[in-house]
Amino acid sequence: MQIPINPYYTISAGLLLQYAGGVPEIPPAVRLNILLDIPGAQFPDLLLILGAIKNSYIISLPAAVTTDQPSLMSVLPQCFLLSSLSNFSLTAGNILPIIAEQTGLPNGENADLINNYFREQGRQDWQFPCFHLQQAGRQQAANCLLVVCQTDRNEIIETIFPQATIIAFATGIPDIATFIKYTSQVKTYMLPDFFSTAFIEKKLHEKELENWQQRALLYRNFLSLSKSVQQKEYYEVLDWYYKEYETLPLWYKRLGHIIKVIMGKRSFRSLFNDKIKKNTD
Amino acid sequence: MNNEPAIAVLYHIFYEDSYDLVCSELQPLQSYHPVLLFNICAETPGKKEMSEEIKKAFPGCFVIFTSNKGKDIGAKLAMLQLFMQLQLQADYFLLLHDKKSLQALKSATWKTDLLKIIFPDNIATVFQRFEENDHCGIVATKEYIITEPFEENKFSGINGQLLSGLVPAYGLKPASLEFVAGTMFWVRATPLLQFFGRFHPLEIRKQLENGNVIDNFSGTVTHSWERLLSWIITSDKMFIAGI
Repeated sequence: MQIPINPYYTISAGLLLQYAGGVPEIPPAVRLNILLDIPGAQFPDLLLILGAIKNSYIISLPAAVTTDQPSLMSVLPQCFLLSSLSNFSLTAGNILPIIAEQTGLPNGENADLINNYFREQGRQDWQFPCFHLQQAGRQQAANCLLVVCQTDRNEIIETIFPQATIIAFATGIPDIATFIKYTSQVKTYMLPDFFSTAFIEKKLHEKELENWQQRALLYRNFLSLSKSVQQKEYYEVLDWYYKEYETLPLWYKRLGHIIKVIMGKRSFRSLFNDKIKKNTD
Repeated sequence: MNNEPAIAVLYHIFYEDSYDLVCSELQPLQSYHPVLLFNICAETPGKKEMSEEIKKAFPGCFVIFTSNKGKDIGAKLAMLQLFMQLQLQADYFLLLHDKKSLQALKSATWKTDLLKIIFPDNIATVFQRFEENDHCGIVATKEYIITEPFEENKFSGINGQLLSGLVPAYGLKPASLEFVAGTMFWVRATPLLQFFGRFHPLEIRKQLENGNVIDNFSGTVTHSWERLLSWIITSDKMFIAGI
């Protein structure tokens, strides 16, 4: 039995931007790997499109951007925001592929800059698998599989990375319709004896379970914290009372009680009664 | 001619049961056709489902997930960066979050009080305050406009030491030390965007603490920025109006 796997299909951000001002009609089930091969000035349009489409996606960086430190630094805020949109895929396992379009395999140069930036923004444990598009067939790095497919035939691909299998196409893609056609030519599957279906389900729910456990701990912490905070506030009020009232001379406080009687806040008779019924207004 | 103010709402959601609350709170604003940006805490269980519901309830909105860094302040900074990256336009921002402050004695009334600024009867008053006076930079619930203690020529509150460093570092010279406690307020967009054009929100967000920090026992950068968000405006010769 083969278990179908939904891969991420590599698409140029430039191609998506052909639809700036509108929304490209890609079937929502098609997951995307968006190669950020556009100048910084076009990122607002890309953000608008990705905010509007329903497709789940990951992003990847061209190797040329990662080797040029200033270029890389300038796109990091955009990478962070793109990876924060709600349809960014949470199941791929924090990967940001680095993809060479022309020659040579990228060596992940400056990947630590991306990692540090993401860590400073509260993101942990990102991986940067390096691939290149000129190498036909399978490439595997950092628990991620990229397969460069020919577009003149149907492809059936077995994977062992159900969460992070990426498909790229060897030839250029002129428009979205062609892209959709190519995606329909690819079938990706995994064998149940490698990872059981139960394992996939488990992986999918593992993070959510952890979030609920953390949330339960948080509420428990709130309970203990509220005790400390309220205790502190209680002593602050008590301290204020002693500083502001208790230190006043007795005659002043007695005068205060007479004023209370005049204002109707307590009865005249209560001045001569030790068991005072306090006004609770 | 359309005189309707352009509004952008930046709403941070931390709690897993906030969806209904968010929908009901934002209902009175819908007639103003606001730009809606939501940040759901990345550690909030059910965030994916909640984001889908929000997108259905508010078509055209943007939803991001960011980690719990700098609490609602960090989230608002991330949303401001997104707003700027999207090159959207607004006359006024409305900053909101699903505050509960479960540790505080007054937690039950705190949020309700802060939300006075979006009660249907008050929204027109908010815009009136802005329109009446060009120097009105922030409109907030008056009970939560408080003054940071400053004694003997220095900040004397629990965040004092941090504020002494941050205020000059960001070139702030607030005319008064009033700020909106709880960080839910209306604010004029221009001065805020001018400031964050010079100091990028995500660069500031880096410095904020992770997790649910509180400043009951010691100062935090996060709570210092709670003050600075107001002082960005009051440093620009503007004041905070209470309703």
